[in-house]
Amino acid sequence: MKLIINAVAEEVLLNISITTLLEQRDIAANSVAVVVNGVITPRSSWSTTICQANDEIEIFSAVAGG
Amino acid sequence: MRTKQNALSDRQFIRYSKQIMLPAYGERGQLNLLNSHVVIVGLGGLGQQAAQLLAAAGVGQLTLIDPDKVALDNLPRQTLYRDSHIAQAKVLVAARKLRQRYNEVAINTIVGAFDESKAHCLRDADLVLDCSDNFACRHALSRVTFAQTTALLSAAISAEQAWLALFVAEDVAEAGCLHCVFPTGTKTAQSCASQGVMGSAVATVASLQAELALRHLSGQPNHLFGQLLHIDFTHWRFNKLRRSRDPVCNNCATALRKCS
Repeated sequence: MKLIINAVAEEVLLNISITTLLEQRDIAANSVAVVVNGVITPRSSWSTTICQANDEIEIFSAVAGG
Repeated sequence: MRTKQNALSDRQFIRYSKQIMLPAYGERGQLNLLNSHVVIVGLGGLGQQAAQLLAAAGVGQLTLIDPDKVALDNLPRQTLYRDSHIAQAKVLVAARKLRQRYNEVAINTIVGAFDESKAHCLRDADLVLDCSDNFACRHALSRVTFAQTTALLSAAISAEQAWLALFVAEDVAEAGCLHCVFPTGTKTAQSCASQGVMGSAVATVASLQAELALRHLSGQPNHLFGQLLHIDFTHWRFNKLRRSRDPVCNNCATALRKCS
């Protein structure tokens, strides 16, 4: 199915969770925030949040600089 | 604690007239600013810029907290400091410069890192600006301000990414706290020290932080209620994202469950 990940259309497996999506991209889960269709999704729910076709996913770095 | 002002002096009325003309501020809003106390944690790129804007706008009292000293590679983005300030404590230099320019502003200084042992420093604050440079400090601020129901306005920037969010009691009850976005254990993938940053981008984020702070202090509605502004300077994308409560958040979930 198709997802829009950081504004780029990508094909992914059906029933993929956010956790698996990050693992496939070698992204450390504790270094990012994930936005699904405009809503920041709590990290505790990533393993049970299943992406739906055409979802818009944004993955952004956890920056803390000041 | 400073005595609250009930009316503007003639000089204050003229000095702040361009702000008072704005319907969203007016005399009442300006008085609120003059009677406000803001704690700024972190006097690096964001904090030193926000401090200047708040002092210039008439915020009556500032408390500045930071452990660091001015370094040469700070100067392109930390424009309050000069070469002659290198190796001096940032909060002491900042306080001196701000007092010279804005002598009606009361300025308190604490040279040291913020942690929970300094929770009392936030007790009478109307707003805390989180301009720090690490998650340990940001999480300590989130815990203390949540416990004390003090408003927390956090901003962060590194390389080309930045974010900004205002956490106030009603907003946290609905959309969660800083920990709900970046839980304990979050590791920063990027820092200004390792990834670099442009002074103009830092000043942009600091100005947005000050803009939101002034609106909050003057009594205006929160235009970021339940949201976080994410900025991607690479593509010049500014997105308001909805926040959501983490039902197992180790900062706000237990207390909020008790309330509901």
